[in-house]
Amino acid sequence: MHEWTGRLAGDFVTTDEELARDFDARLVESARLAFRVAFSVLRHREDAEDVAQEAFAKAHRQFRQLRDPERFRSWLVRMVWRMALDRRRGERRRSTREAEHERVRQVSTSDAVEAGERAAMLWDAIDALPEKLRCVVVLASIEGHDLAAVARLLGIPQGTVKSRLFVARQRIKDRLQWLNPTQSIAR
Amino acid sequence: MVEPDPIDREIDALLDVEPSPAFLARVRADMTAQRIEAHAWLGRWTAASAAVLVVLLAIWRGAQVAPLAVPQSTTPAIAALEPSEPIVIEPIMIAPLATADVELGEHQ
Repeated sequence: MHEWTGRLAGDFVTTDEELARDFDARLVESARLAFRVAFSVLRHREDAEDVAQEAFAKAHRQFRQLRDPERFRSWLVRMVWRMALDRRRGERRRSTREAEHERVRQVSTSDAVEAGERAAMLWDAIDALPEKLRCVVVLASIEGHDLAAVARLLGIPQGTVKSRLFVARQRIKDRLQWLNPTQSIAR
Repeated sequence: MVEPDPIDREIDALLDVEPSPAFLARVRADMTAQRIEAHAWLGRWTAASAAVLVVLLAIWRGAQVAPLAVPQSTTPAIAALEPSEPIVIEPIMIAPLATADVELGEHQ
């Protein structure tokens, strides 16, 4: 009886330790992804870190169902995206794109000012996209994700990703053209 | 990689941001705190369950012991009511009717 209880307690501790180890591995490989997805929505480092941290806390609570790495990343991306959008909606009144303004303010040379303005316009063009297209563009630009990876992360067919990406790029180019007709798109 | 497009390079550059070095440490600390809290909850639940179990066991034991105590206390009372020696019922003697006739005849 004593042996059996000891073994049961041992199994419990081992499972707990294994879970903790697995979670840490997922954290290390997905931290940058979560942060960048949040940053793409919030454009603010501290806010993006807060949202990513909250998403990891939620993931930790449900980790028994999210042990598969692919499933974990997919769940995390969707969760971070949703949480970041919620946060942005809540804080829209507070500030308007602090990071990009700061970036523009910090630059001193005319080239840098131009780069900052260009970045601001690009963000503006990305923001103007419908959510479905924006998500695809952002994920395709993070960590060199290919079409298949983006499709897996979003749980949609690869063909859908390809067509959305095409439409999104086109709209971004059109928007940039409209914002600054004198500037070429590819520099 | 997704097919290269000039606009992609610019978007890549926009999203080429890194979390602060303290980010991972902060998330790990958060997870540790969550684990400790979960263990504390588990401990509290175990203690509460054990307490409930002890109370239920006590109630059950009480129910088991109570019926045994009744016969022990009532047995002497019942024993006192019962006679210590067996009752012997003696036969009732009835006088025969013929004897009475003889007595009447003698008077005549």
